[in-house]
Amino acid sequence: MAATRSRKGQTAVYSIVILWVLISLAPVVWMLLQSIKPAAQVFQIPPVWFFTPSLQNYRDLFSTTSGTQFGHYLLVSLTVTICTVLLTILASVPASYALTFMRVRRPNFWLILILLASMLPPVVLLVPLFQLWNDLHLLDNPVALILTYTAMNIPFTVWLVRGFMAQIPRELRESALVDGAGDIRILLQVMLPVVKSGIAAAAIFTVISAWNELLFAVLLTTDNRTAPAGIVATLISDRGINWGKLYAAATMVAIPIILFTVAVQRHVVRGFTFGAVKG
Amino acid sequence: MSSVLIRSEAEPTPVRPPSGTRVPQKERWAAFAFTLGAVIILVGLILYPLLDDIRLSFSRLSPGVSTPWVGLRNYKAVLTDPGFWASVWVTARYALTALILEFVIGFGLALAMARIVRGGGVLRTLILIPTMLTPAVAAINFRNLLNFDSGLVNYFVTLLGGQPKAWLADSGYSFAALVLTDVWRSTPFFVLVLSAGLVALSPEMIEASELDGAGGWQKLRYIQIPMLVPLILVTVLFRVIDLFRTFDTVYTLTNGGPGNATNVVAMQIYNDANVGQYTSYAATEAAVFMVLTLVVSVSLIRVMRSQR
Repeated sequence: MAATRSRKGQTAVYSIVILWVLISLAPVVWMLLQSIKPAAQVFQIPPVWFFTPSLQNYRDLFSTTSGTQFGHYLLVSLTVTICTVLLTILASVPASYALTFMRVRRPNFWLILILLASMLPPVVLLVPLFQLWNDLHLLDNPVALILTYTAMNIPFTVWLVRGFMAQIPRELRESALVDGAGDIRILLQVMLPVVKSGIAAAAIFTVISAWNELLFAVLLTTDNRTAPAGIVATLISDRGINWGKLYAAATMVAIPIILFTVAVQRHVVRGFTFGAVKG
Repeated sequence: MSSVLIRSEAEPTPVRPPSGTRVPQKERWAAFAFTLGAVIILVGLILYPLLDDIRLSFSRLSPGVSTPWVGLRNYKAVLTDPGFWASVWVTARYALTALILEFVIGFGLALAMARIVRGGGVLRTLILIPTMLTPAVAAINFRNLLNFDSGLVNYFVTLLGGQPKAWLADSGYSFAALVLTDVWRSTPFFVLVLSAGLVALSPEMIEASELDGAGGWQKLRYIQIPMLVPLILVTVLFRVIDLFRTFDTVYTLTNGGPGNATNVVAMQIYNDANVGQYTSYAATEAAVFMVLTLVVSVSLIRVMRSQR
């Protein structure tokens, strides 16, 4: 009796979860299908469910004669994302180390400040940052995006990595110091291996946020757009939109993120729960 | 148990050295060097812009006009601007509706996920995908699905015998579309965090309550939810912060419309800043919005701390 009940329970539990997965992934699957439909059938109603898949939309998207800059946008996105992640980690991890292990004056004050900074809605800095980059003649330059995104991601990264480091006993550093190791060596050889999953989680969140960001991308760039900003600009400005091409572009932005998510989901879940648990 | 789970939520563990020890000069320099990169970037791109925003909010800056000090005039204008308060109201309603739906659905799914014996990893990955997907891309897709002539939604509505509707031209429906887009995107966050929390609850306690004859509902009401309250509050705080930031979806899906039915604060500030005429006005709106966000976050943090 108990066994059948639990089997019934399991069936119910799986049905609920699978139902959610089906509903929430249906729009994503639809997007992928639209992108490989022949352009003429993309907007046909009733929808064409069975069609000969074609990569024509993608060929149009990247063809040099079509006038779209999408290849360039993708390259900008890639550059901005990679540089943002590297800079964020490079600036944040040593800071987390210092705030965890070194005798900083008023450490709690700094931590609260970092926490507040991570809560700040980016739109609050919209006007002054636009003026700053304008004054520095860096509008439409990926450098402005990279530095802006880095600044937006440092507070949370410091907070998350510090949470992981705080679990390491302080004696580990002290004994290494006694052995004559410097802090740089301790950070690189002792701490990094222990907190690497925390750093991975922080890096993943930074990748996602830099790749997906739209507000500053549409504000600070005109020609050197990131891919999401490029797509949205096409959507909003153009009259005769080629929807097949737009779907191909949307898919090109989505696919790397989906693959990335599948590849790193273990760290993401860890970071999510740890971030929430550690606040 | 939950106190183990939430060891230091939102409160840094004290890292002060034992009192009386003098901090050696060498270590001070090392700490300075280690934090230097982060400090330069944060001072240059967060603190300075923040102060600059406040400076701008006391000035008047339009093409051809540049008065460095106008006192509280901008604040007076913003605080009495029905358009600004309408956007605050939209943001609040949007955040609250989305939050409640996400919590209820998310908790239900988390209860299910916590019971899953096999295949949890794969399902978790699949659940996670909407959360990671570029919001602008998702919004473009939804915009097409809701299209009057060629959208899939109207196709199914007609199939079921209903009347096709111009969803995004109706203020109620477009607000609902905005909320549901976020529910679609962010419910997974609740699912993942809460299911991890449920799994971490002490099994002894649950078993004890079962031996005492607690049914599923009672167990949930008197044991599981109370134990998860701290985790729930942190998750809510995370979501509120994120919901207050919402821009991408609005910009792409509805552009704030129709009218200003979906005009969230971020959209309002963006438009005012972008038109260019209203630089100092947008800066003032941003300053007021920052205070509002701060008040909400700090109150949530206080509730969180009083719960422990």
